[in-house]
Amino acid sequence: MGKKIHVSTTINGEAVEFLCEARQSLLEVLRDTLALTGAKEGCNNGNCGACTILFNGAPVDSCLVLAVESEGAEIETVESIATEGHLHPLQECFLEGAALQCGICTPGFLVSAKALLAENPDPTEEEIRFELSGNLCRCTGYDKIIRAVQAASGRMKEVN
Amino acid sequence: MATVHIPPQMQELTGGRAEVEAEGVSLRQVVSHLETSYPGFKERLLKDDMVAPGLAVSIDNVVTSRGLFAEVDPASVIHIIPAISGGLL
Amino acid sequence: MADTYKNSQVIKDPDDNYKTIGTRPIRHDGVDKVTGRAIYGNDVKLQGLIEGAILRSPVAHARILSIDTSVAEALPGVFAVATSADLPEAGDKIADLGEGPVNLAHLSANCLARDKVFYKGQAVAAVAASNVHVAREALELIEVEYEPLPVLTWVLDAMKEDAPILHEELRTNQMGKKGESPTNICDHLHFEQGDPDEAFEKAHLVVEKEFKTQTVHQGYIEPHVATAHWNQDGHLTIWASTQGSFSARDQTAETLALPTSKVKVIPCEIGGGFGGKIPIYLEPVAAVLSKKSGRPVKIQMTRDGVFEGTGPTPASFMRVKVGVDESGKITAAEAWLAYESGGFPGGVIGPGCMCVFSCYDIENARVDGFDVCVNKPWTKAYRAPGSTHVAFAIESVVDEIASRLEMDPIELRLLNAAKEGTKRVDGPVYPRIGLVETLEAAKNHDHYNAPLEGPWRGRGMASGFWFNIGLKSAVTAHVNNDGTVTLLEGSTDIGGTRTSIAMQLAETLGIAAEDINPKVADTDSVGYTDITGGSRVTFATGLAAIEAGKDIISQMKERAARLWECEPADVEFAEALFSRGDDSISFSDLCAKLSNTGGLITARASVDPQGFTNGFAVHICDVEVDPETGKVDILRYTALQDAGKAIHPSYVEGQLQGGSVQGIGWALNEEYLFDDEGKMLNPTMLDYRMPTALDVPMIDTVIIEVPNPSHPFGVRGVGEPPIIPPPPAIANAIKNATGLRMTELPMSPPRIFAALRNMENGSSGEQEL
Repeated sequence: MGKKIHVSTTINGEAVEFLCEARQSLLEVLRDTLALTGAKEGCNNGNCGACTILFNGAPVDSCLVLAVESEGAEIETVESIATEGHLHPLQECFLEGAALQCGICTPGFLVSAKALLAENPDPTEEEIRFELSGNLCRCTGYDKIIRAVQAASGRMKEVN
Repeated sequence: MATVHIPPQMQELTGGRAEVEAEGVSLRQVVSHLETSYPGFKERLLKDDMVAPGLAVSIDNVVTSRGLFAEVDPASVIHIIPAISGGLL
Repeated sequence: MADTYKNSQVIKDPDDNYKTIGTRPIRHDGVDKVTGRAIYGNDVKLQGLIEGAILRSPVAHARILSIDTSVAEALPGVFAVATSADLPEAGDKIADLGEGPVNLAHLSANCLARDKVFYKGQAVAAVAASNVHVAREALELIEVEYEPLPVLTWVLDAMKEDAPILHEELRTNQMGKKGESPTNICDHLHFEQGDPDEAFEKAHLVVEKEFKTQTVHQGYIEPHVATAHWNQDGHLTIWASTQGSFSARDQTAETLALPTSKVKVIPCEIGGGFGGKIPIYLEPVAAVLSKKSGRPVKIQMTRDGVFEGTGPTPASFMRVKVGVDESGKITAAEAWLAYESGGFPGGVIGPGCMCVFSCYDIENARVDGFDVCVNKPWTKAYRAPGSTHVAFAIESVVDEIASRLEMDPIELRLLNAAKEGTKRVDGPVYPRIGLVETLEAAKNHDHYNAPLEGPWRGRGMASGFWFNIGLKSAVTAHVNNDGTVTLLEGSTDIGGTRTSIAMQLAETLGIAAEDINPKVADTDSVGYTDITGGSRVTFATGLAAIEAGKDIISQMKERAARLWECEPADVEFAEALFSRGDDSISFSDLCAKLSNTGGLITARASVDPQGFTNGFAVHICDVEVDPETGKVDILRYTALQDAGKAIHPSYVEGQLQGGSVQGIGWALNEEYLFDDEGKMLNPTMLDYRMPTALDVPMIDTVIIEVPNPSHPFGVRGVGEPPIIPPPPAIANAIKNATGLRMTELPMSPPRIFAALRNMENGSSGEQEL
């Protein structure tokens, strides 16, 4: 097992230090050490996307990142999407459009969709489907998720 | 008298009859009455004094969850069917 | 009377005049679920919590000669190791656990194997350690000696006279009559009405086909997870991801031989279930590890553990034969169905037999169904269990008849549709149902009438049937002095049912949905409630909420009477207003006066409704087949369903869309691949290929409201029917596009490619099984 490793990183805008074992994934440390349980474990091998976070701005499966690799990185999780007591337009549109049923995949979809809209504020349906194809949802059939992202895209343009 | 439809696999108990009549104001009385006319019926339908696991009884086209306490009236039509819950557990 | 919401349409009952029902409020648990704050099973944190892991059998059929856990126990960081020796002997008890009977010896052996393993992946031992990594290291130190036994992986092989036997004590059950010799056939069901043999003789056209389907998983994204704390006072608390907290409590108590009062189940948010989270797997194991270690223990399954160790829906072999007269009227039908129950007896053949001909009015019919043990995971419920299989068979045969008679497939179905008064082959007669209305809506839908051009494109449709069950539900409602109501209910919420139940109470009280605060309570805090399953929650728990609402109104009338010094019977209630003559007071103003007119009010209701009914779905789909690869793309998809009354239309649409896409996955890609030794070759979400957002189009929906006469608002269950029609609707579209009649699921690229090649080489266009 060896000695634990010290890691300094930035999570949701705050400087964070933690100790971890070399074998621990970033998902595990976020959830178990730092109590950020918004990222979910669905498969632990990068297939379902429920653990999606932003790593230096890019959406990644946090189950595939070793915690030690986050030294010096900027990490954003679902917990940071709502700000100053307000839901993000994506969160509002997911709720208004009933884009979640059981909700376990929702944090991953929100993070992936946020990354998509940052890159491409006005995506087509096909682009949304492509960019979100790494996130599995078994409840909704995707229809209402795609529509919620389209609605959020519109709302964000209005705001800007 | 209530009409009881006997599934093919239980018709050996009723001498091949698919439809028999029985008296009673509850399923318990109906089953007792059937047992008198067709000995062995109770053993097939019940276990531990309840409708046997895997079987269900529909009275007037409603599958009852009240077992032997289900109410029966003289015009009732009763079917013995497999329990839908098969496989739920 | 239709209102259109994006790509969905609700065809309303013209008599409707509701205030809250039919609107689309934000779900009560919504903010927690979009901010990551909702507590799912794996988010539970407890003082001193340690983690467990499960050792699974590497072989599909073997006798366990010995298990040596001593080295594992000595590993630093290991707190406890458990095997079946730590679970009480269950004997031959059949327990009725609310939703159906279960053989406790099988349930227990499926949690931790006793003297034999019956499938690869069956749990054999478990470890609790300081963290999951140490627990997994310890698993590798457990020595299990297996004596391999012959492996059966296909239902027809297991039915042969000379097949190796899985359970020596098993005898075929024929509706209560037991067979005499050892067998793998657990159940044989037989139904018959009229004279099918004579009717087939006289028929103008008879079509008979054989079909095969493979093992398919529910595919919920959240793996099974359970946390147990066995307190020193003898009370066991379980934090569970379950479709039924009371069912999980009762199953756990029975497996551990504890009185139910000693077990409390706290239901966490549940990350999908679809039937797969009704049975328990981890709860008793975590409990004994907690008892041995003195610490709370959490176990979460790995994803391959979920695929290999939990209950999928069975593979099947089916033969269906249908005869019609010149007009297309079905005069005779026959089905021979064999489903795999998996490693233990008790699969879903019952509903399979009851659903096969349930969309049709057929005078002469015969059904034989067999439930058969094989060395594969113990099959369990998956959304309309058993019905999708038979729909693939019957709806393909009916489509074939329509094409040979050159009839429109919806016209043929309308000619033969089940309706009020139709007698099903298993006996019961339908009350008011909505199949005809749903078929008519499909026939008139723009999708069905739109032109579809281009090579390799085709359109298909199919119907599906599922029961709604009733079962027991209880709620408690506390009226607060600010005009709101706290509603405690026992139905775990997988898809927004907190809100659909709260809306029914809101409608009853004439207040806003937002003024109800629904909570899913633990088993010590609310009355007994059966599982979230069988499309029952909005119907039955909703009924309990309505009853509690009536109780609130009657108690509040007494308070109003006290204010006005009159008799409660003189007080009237309508639209959130209590009145007597010129006096009136609003619901919320009266709430403010409860405290000093006798105290705040609690109401409760416990129901066991008997008048539940049936649901029908009709789907239309357009496909394009790529002849180079055999890949099928869905171009357009429309799901129509008789929903009784849509309480929250968005979540009804969500059920239709989600069920359709699960059915599309089953139709086109999903299957367990096994080698000859019964080892699953694709136990990951990459290789077990469920649909992604890129694989499907928007799913258009039409909700047809044919009210259920036995619910005050007309609710029918809607959750299950939408998974049923997709495989046959897609098969029929593929036939229309290519001339190929696919008879095996999934209709994956390799199968379509091979069938297209066969057809080019001069075979009939019939897929070879």
